[in-house]
Amino acid sequence: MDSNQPTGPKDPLDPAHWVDRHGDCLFRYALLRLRDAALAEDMVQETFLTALRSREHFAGKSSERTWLVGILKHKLIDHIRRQSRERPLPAGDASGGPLEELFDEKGRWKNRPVQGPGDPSTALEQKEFWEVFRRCLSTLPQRWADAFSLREMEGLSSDQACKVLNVSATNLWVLLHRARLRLWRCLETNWFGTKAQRP
Amino acid sequence: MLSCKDVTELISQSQDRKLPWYQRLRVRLHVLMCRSCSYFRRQMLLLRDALRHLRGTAEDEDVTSGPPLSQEARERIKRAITRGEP
Repeated sequence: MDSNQPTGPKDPLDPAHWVDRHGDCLFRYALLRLRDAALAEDMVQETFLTALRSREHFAGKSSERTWLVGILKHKLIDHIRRQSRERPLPAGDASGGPLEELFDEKGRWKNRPVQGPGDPSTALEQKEFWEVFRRCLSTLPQRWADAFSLREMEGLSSDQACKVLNVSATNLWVLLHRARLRLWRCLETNWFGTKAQRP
Repeated sequence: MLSCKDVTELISQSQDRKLPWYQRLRVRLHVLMCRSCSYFRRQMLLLRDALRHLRGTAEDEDVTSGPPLSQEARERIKRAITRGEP
């Protein structure tokens, strides 16, 4: 499905090929952070349409890919901001959580962590690691995962993340800590601790 | 003496801000004596490194792999772009 309108040599942008060149990359980026395929598809489409409308602002200083990822990033953060405004933090998210499932009343491990040689910094293992990571992240309650995603994957500061999520600094800390522990336990069970048993 | 639960809290906190020296010392001493918490700490550091790597490679689609756009979504988005073109 080619565009009838060829892009001139002075225009570095090539919308007719955007989906084929960048569609999968943007989709994976959105899916990892939103954990919802339909929503991620919408975000990708929105990104392309916004890019189309603002193509005269593309300065050509960065690559087409970098420019598109930047637009997508803003859309994801806006989406989380809107959702956080519409649905305030559920009361249950401020109490309970993974601490009780991990520790007994004296603060001792219920199930001791185990260590295999699984190491995500090894290039060969990266894809497998992110596969497990994606599954683990999607088991977290939404607000925990959103907090984690903004802070640890988008690299927002604590202040910025609080504003986007519409929570206090203390709430953010609780969300992040819970998210980290729950995520870690899932990774420990399915990645860090399992490699030792493999032949 | 810090409990394992306290130590995991401090290790998690240390990802957001630098802990005061005495807290770092208490974590270090606990981890020296507690294999479980030393595994926890090591794995949290690996996770942190993996995420750091992820943030540095946003434009590289091969980093995290994952499923591609479905054929149906691909066609739909292409149509939307064609309609949106001036």
